Amino acid sequence: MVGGLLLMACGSTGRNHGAVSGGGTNAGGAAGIAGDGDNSECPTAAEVAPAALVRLTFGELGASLRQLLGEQAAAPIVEELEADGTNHAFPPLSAESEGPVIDERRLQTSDLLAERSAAYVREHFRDVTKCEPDYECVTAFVADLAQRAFRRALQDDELSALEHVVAEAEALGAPPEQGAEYGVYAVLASPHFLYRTELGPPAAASQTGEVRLSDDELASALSFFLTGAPPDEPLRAAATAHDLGSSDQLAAHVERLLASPKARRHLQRALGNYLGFPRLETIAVDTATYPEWNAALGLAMQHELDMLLQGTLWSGPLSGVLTSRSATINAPLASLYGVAFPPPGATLDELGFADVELPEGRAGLLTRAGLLTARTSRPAAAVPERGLWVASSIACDVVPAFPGAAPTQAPGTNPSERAKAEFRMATSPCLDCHAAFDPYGLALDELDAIGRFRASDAQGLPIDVSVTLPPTPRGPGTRVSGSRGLSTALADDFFATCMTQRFLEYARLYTAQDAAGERCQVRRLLAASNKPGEVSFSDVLTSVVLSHAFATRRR
Amino acid sequence: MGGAFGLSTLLSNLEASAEGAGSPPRFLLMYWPVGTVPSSFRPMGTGRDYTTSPILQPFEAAGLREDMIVLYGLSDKGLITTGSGGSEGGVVLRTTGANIPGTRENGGERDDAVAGGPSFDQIFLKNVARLSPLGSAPKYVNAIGDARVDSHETSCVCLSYDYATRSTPSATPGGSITENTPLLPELSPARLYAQIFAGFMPGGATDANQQELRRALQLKKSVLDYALTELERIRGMAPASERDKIDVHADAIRKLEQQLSARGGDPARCRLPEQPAAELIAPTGSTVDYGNPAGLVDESPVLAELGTRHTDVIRAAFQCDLLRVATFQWASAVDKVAFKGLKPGDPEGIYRHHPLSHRVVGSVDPLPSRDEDRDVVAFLANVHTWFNEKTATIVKSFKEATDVLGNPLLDTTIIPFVTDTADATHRRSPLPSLIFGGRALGIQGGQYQNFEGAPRPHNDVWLSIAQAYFPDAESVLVPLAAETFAQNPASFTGPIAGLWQKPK
Repeated sequence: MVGGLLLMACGSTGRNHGAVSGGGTNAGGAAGIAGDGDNSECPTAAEVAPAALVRLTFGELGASLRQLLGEQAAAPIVEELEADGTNHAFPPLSAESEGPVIDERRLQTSDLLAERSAAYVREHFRDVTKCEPDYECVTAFVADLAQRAFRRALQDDELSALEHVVAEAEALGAPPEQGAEYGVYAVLASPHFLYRTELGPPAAASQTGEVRLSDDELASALSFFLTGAPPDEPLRAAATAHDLGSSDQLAAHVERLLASPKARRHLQRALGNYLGFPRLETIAVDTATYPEWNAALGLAMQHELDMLLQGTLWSGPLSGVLTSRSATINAPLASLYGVAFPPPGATLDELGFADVELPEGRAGLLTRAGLLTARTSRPAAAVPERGLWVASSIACDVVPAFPGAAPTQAPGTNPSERAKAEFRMATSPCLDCHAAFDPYGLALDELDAIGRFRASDAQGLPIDVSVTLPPTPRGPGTRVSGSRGLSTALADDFFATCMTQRFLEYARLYTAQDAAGERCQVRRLLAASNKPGEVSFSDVLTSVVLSHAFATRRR
Repeated sequence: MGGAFGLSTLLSNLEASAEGAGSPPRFLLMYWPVGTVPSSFRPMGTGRDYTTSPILQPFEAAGLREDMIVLYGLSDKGLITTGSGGSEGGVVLRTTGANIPGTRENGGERDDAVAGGPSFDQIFLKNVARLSPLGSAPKYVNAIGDARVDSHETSCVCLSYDYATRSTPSATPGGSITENTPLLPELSPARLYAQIFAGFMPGGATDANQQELRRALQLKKSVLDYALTELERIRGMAPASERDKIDVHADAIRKLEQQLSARGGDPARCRLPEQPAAELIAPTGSTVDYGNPAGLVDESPVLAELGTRHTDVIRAAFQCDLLRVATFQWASAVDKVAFKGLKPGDPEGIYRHHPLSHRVVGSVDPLPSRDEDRDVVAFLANVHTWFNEKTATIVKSFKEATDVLGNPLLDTTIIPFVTDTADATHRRSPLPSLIFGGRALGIQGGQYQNFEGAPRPHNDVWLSIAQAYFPDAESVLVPLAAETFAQNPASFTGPIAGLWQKPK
């Protein structure tokens, strides 16, 4: 480990909570989209994202192939081209391998995906098309596939363009199997498959100002948001029948989809990506200082975090993520946590894990070994690193970028982390930024780089974890002690507001210019249909879908 | 599969490379047994101005100096061998770079090492997407010229180990042990040929093939034209802010169309080799003949033929881009290949290589004092030279070959040439190692580095090679961090300076 000097300094850019009023209540929401168009309680109107052409990620294309051609056809292609949606970005389109634009590199992958799928259709012609080798049947098959692939009905001229590709194959003397192959290839290479639109209905093409997404667009947006896959049959049917106009209708689909394991896995993975769970088994940890660290322990930590999310997201309030003492651990983790294992009467699963109730000090995400290991890339700078992460990811503070000023040394010989932090928080120009997040890091300083409790630091100095948290829009910061106190303080409706804000950004791939204003809108949204302290993850997601911002774009 | 298999594979891989990526990288691991004779191996001088040695002269004579890196003074330091034999453990350590957890219970000696991690051919295959031609199967092949052993060893006849593990009875430490599954090599060049080329239709051979290829190209263009038309349709509906996105996509499609029109690659360059004779098969069996190392017939011509046929198949597979990863093991680490006329003063004498190597009394470096031992050492040097002559012919054939994109095959193929032990005494240091090819990937041939004063771990050779496959990584240890060998920092230092430079 590298010990020593304070390595961060800060400019006087200040923080940005913005002027935010209280949550209030709203009796709306039962009929029509939730009435947050009334801006009397927030200083700014709800910010609407611009109309857009949204590229499907490779994972979404893979999921689409599974729906169109079946698992047996899609699985090898998806695996070969790594289109399985396991990139760790939040949202996935922000991953380096993805991006909003189909350039030459991404065209290579999407083109091969289309070509491989088309080759499968040729090789399994009868099974897939249900046709005899007959061009009339092939043409009908391609038209039907296009409608399912484009997630809407086709216009006549769109259909003609596709039929022309198939007709050309016939004219060149290609057998019907090859005609089907190139028809399918055209469908899957089409921009109508590779993108989804957020433009509003065709009739709105010449409008400016706010437009509501068409029913087909709304169905796609909702489905890809909640499941990472195209709309299923009930949702497509509702779109076709124009049955997505009311909050009740949308809420029913949300409830239906959130009950599915597929959606839960997708959304749990999304939250894990947001929280920045890397592949813990690949993290480099100094084994001279932490000899118990190895890849297997990293994997165990990963599993524990996954199970924590699984156990808290779908039952009880969202705050359970920060307060739950339930854990799924194995023997090495138990040793790290200092608990007996296996607990009396417990049954180990096939991986050697069992469900336990951790001691009071290990409540919630911020006290779990995996999270702390992931958030401690440099143990010598753990306080600001962890603090910054809590501020931006849990409290949704807007923290200015590091200005790159020269480092400043705290006074004294080998100052403690506390002394360094207090120096930063009291010294200009550092204090403007560090006062906003160092307290979070100090509260967590009782947990070392792999999440073990410690009473003293590497120099043998006692660790003081009593801090006054930064002020929030709700008022001055509270006094807390340690990781448990921090978790309790953060696990209020502000956390739910923060998650709603993030998932609204995720759903519409847009970050509001006025973050504080959007947070006000989000708080009103949650308060409209939820009691304080009882907001669940499902409530968060439902609120996102029912919001004006989700279903509306600006042309 | 019908002929369309070969054409669509070729077309796809042509397009994949035509789409700006150039010829793909390749990897061919080669191996020779029983180390070397240091005094005849070590060049004079170091760097680029070294004077070649008798054992390395065949490569110089074949014009391969600038395509070759010579390394000496490597070691297995930091690696645990757990009861394995010098030869047995040496092969496993060489190709996996990972600790050996124990030895296999095979009914013979108790020193048959098991692998504690995947081998580097599999590591690169897993971590380097471009080493897998899309759609092709198999993704790799392993071949061997002579698989005879002396105590039922598996370790001596295997370079390649899977990520998948299995349980196997153990001699050391006993009971059962978990090993990374050996991916045993193919003995028969004819079967290797069938494995790769079954159902493949060679390009350019018939009018029918050309007609089918033309139709496929035309239909592909029709698909791209359709996509462009639909992009234009969307462009009419989208706001101005989204038009850049559409334009980038359209430009990418147009570029692909241009490349198709220019016929970026020529399938005619993919020509199948002559189908190997079915009766040409690497010998197998387990016999102990240290007591009598004499042979009955000169087996080197057959071994040379096996090496030629196996590598002809591999080379053609690389040229046709059906395969980008392979291993070829000249012979078992305890090989019994009989060579005639390679022992000084005994032009008609026929001796088995590894058994005779056990007759050396004293050291190999410096040379032993007794004449009879010096004659044995000279025999070993001559055998190593023989392996190098044949390997030089093979490497030269890669240098003279081009792939379907018309690029020299050796320039994009990295050929590490490794051995199990330092010399006949089974020392684990100082090890020799060679690297051929890879010029277009940044490998800096034409040099010799000697680490005898401060031995480098052999894993550093793998890390040096890895740079060529991860040219944009800040450190190759990042993409390889999860690999088994990387969990043992004592077994590596890092890439060797000067062996690789990022291509422009």
